[in-house]
Amino acid sequence: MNIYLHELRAYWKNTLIWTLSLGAGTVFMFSMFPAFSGNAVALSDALKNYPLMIQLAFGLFVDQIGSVSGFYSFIVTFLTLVGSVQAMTLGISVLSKETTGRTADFLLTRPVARGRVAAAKILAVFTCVAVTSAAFITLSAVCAQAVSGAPFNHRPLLLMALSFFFVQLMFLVLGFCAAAVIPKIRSVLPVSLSCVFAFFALGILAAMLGNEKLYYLSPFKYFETYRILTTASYNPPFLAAWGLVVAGLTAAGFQVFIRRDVRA
Amino acid sequence: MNVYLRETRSGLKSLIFWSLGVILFLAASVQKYSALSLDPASLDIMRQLPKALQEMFGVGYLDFAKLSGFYGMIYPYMVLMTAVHASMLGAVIVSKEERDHTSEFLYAKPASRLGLLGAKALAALTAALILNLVIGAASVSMFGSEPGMPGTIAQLCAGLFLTQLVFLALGVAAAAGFRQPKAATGIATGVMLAAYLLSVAIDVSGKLGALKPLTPFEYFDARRIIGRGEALNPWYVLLCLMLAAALTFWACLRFNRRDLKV
Amino acid sequence: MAIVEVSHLKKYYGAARGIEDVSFSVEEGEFFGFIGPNGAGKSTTIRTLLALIRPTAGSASIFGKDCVKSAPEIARDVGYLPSEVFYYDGMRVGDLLKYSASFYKKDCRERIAYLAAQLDLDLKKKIDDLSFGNRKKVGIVQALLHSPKLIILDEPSAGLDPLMQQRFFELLREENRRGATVLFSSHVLSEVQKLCSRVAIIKEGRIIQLDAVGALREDNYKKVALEAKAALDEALFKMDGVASLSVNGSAAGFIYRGSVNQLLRVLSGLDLESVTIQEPDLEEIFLHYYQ
Repeated sequence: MNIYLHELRAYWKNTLIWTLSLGAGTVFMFSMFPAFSGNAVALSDALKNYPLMIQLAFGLFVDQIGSVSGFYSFIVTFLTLVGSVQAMTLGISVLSKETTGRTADFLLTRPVARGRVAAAKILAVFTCVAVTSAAFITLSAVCAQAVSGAPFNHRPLLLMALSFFFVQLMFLVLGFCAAAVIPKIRSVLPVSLSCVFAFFALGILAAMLGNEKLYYLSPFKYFETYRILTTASYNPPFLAAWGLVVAGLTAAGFQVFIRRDVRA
Repeated sequence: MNVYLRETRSGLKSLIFWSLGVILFLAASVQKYSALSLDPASLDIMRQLPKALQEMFGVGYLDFAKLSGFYGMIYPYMVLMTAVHASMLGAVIVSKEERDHTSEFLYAKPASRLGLLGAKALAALTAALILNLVIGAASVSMFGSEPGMPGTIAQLCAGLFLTQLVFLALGVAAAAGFRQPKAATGIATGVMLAAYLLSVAIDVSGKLGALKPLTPFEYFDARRIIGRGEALNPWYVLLCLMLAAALTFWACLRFNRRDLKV
Repeated sequence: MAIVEVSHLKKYYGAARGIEDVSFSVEEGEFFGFIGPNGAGKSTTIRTLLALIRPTAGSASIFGKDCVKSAPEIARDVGYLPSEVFYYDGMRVGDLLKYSASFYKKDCRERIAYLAAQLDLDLKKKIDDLSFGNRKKVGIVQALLHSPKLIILDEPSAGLDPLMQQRFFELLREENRRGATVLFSSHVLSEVQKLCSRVAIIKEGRIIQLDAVGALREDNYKKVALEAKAALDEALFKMDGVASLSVNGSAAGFIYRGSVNQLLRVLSGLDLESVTIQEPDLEEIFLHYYQ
């Protein structure tokens, strides 16, 4: 479809930069592992009484401290932050640029239903995010294999890496819905940054207050690293909630975009 | 000056938003501290963490049983938040004229380009300062119960302000210096995130100390300042001022010469 | 067959009036003009026709289909030129036109080449580097490249140099001869006078006059200017239908509405050097409505 291709062409460079930066960051972080694990191994016993609350707040866990998976659970949070900013920026800008760039008069008077325009756009940015996530997951697996001295269970690591993609999707549709409701978002990056950091802080808050219900408020807590590390699986109610949130925001964004007035 | 007033007024909503955010964060931290302090065993464990983790959380220098120690632990988050705020503020306040196609209006007025740039930078500085003061006041009221703590918090806020200066200058330079002001926020974010990543890596590996001057996030070590009663490192203070000055100077030079995007 | 049918269309932006009550229809093959003061509701009406905004009340249809419900279908045969033309950053003219063409299931390459040649438009240039007028040209080509049956233009000639304006109108006339219907809103009344067969005048959200251009001119005043051999007396022109009388020594001018025969009788009684009787400019007529 022409709109889909047009958008992909418009975003490929941006996606490349984000993917390469994320990749570089990932490799850099992994390179710290040898130094990190050298220190950690000796103290696993003493850490067994490490209170859960603190572990959850900082993403560091007793039994996993020395392993690559445990280390990854720490760095994946930071990298997911970066990926979330990318996703939200894409989600917002794909819609808002028609308004701020005044090209809405052109695009929306083509013989294409608005729903299809929205679909093409969201599919395009979804593709960008998917590409970045795929690269990230692959790179994570490769690096983990490379730096880990001992064999390790791949499943928790892969699940954590996959959660990067899921969180990205949440921010993608959040940005999309936001731009549908507020067409004139001009400072896209600052808005995304602030939003992502706000949700991140919210997540830390929720962890500190120990209230699991509050976890639903922050995308960063839907795929809790501790749980993945210990049970090698996602938390079903959160997974369901994730599905609902993503579907709901997408549908809402579509509906608003289809119905709203396009001012000159 | 009219530009200064206008920029300050239009940035008010965002500033309030950010101020509330930091206050909330500080309040939540106090909450967590009260929860933690009820469990002394957990604090003992902290001291037995692997060295890398100790470095990260400053366990070696800080006593988490005390409010002040806890503050030292959350201080780096304050730095990160204000760094994001300052760099975005600097970048947007300068690039928005060219982004919104209002540059033909503003820059054709009888005022020098540098004068206008200066007014905007000053407005951004004011906002950063206000945020800093809010953090200071909130910190003192929530974490300042111990003797000597308010003074230490004041020192930390001074360090915070210096970091804000550097990132503010970074944002302004990214917007003023390049011919494509639209890229300003991206550049500023990129540099800031890279600096943060570097600081995390330094903390985690405990070995890259030589690289500390490269990232403002490592300049003012809350753990030492609180835990050992050290003062702000004068070399880093100087570095901050020099960085900010250099970036600003370069920004002014370029802004005066380059074509403005209509 | 009425190509465009608008019936009691109303649009309010919250509490602010867009249009109050607009009704008109445009027949196939017509060249229809749409004029009015700033803020009267011209753009609002047009944007409603294009389903860019939803009406508060009333209905509008194009090709017999409802504007909002069948918008994509209708858009296949409609070409639209907005008053302010903006396109995506970093695109070249040719690329944008190709992108636009890709929405219509036809091969428009020849048309694009032809139109670009007519308007002196360089397809290789970056849109960002174009002046306002040149961007307008891109908009014109974009509106016409798929040979639409209905062409809607909002202030089309603003920004074009006089030569380009001529070429542009020639293009429009060509399209019209081919059978296309043209609806355009403008402030340049001489244009409207030259091109349009019917004109609607909109003011404060309502249509206050809708007629053929010729009828508007006929049914109106005649401008009379004369020069006599001797000084004139005002009293000579005291008859029904005279307005705006001005006498200056041996020259006089006035506006007359009424029986032509009576006018000629009065004038023939005078000793005249020269006399001019004109139909007023549409500008003068319209200005009356603008006030």
